[in-house]
Amino acid sequence: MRIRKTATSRRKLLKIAGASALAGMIANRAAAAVRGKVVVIGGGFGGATVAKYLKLHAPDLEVALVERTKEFATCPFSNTVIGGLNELDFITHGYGGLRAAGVEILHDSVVDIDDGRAKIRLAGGEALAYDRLVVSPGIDFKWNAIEGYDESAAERMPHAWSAGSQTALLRRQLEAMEDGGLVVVSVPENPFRCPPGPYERASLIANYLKKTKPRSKVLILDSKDGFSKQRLFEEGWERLYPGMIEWVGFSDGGNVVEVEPKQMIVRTDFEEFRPDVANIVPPQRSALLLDTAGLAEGGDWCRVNQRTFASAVAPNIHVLGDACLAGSMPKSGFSANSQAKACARAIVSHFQGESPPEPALINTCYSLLSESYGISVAAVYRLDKDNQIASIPGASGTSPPNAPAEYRSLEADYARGWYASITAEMFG
Amino acid sequence: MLGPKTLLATVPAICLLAAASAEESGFSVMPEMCAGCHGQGGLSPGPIPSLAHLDAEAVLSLLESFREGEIEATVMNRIARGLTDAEIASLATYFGSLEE
Repeated sequence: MRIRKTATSRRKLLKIAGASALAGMIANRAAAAVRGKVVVIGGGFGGATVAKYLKLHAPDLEVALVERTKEFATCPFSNTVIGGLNELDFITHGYGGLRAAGVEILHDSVVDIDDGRAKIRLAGGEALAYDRLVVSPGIDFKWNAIEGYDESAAERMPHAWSAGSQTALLRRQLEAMEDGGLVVVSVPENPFRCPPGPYERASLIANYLKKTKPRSKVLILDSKDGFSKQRLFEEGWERLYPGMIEWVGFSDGGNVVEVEPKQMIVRTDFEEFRPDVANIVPPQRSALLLDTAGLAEGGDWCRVNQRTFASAVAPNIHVLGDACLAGSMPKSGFSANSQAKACARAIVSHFQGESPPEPALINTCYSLLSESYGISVAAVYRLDKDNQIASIPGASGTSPPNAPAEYRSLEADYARGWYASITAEMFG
Repeated sequence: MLGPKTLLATVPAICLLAAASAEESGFSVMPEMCAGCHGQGGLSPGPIPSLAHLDAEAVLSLLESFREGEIEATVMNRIARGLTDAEIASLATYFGSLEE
């Protein structure tokens, strides 16, 4: 069914909707007069999106984006690379599209944020001045929070929780493993980046092993007693990979406390495992760079104004994505993308001398259990009476349990569709 | 229980999201919130339906149907329940105005 546009029905709708008043409200006000300099740190889901939309809303705004890597590998869909469904190239994107949109791209590292002087300093020696700074640098790992798990341990026991070389390393280890091998996936306590991610990963590893090394097993050692979309994952595992995936929660001894990478030993509070492949997802915090401006206030994450994403301690700096505390929104690429759009509107409003709009935000997290089996959790968020971002009751939830195969297959297609759309939006 | 037939009926599904508080701001809705799935400018590069070809009346009708559960979709029933009448009308007008 394709419903084509007709002039008649458009006129009719305008009448229904209250005609020109509404049409006027939703039109992007051309913000040609908006001038100022915005610097964005981080070219991921938050940073790339905010840079893109700032230029769309206010073409005369100067927007510079600082990103370490010339090509960005996305964490979303990195599990499909680990599971052998896609190559690393598929999740790797350049910045040509943003450059064409008028964003100045600087490939460098930021060493200091000096909000007093409204400048950031780059590793290359350059200083960049800003009127507004947007920081979307993601996470850093808490090395040694699991005893023995430091950066060098990650070369033997990959986290693969930032995409790229770690993703490729974990894939190579799975390819090299003999049939009958044991893969351990360890999961940290909340909050962490991409709550359903470890369980999607276990699923797609099992999907690969089932085809190539069917006597192998995946053991999930979890620091929690429950997890995102748990009922749906467990239903899918039973249906697709019976007996292949075992989940051990915190109370049953799933909490990993120590590793010995050379001996390939993983220890929980109660037991010791010797897996063939160990994927250790360590505890996380906001990127350490944020501490140079005190944005995490000595804690792990950054408090922000829930309408504008301006830092609670530095009103000219906005913090987006995994690094910020955004009410009940999960730390996901989709959340960061939504937050960036609200933030872009807020920054343009600021330069126009207007109040920021009240955002309605959205998050949909798809997880793939196989090529043709997808599940989702979706929610719409608004500010609650305490001005905190909260999901709207009744407008949130997961895919239904016991849905027919067609439903799961459609959600697998939509997962791929989401990835195509959001990466085209950010990088295209 | 959802059958394949119902699902097929939802394939031209649409996903929309709006923001509130027109009085306080220059923007009443943020149609770009839909772009993460349905593509920038309502043009989806992948298997999620595009919106740019839909006229406003169709968008209005689909969103209301998703919200009331008259059409069973995947995520759109959940998302549409978060929208007010005014937001649905605004989004319909916006997407209806896009060029294919």
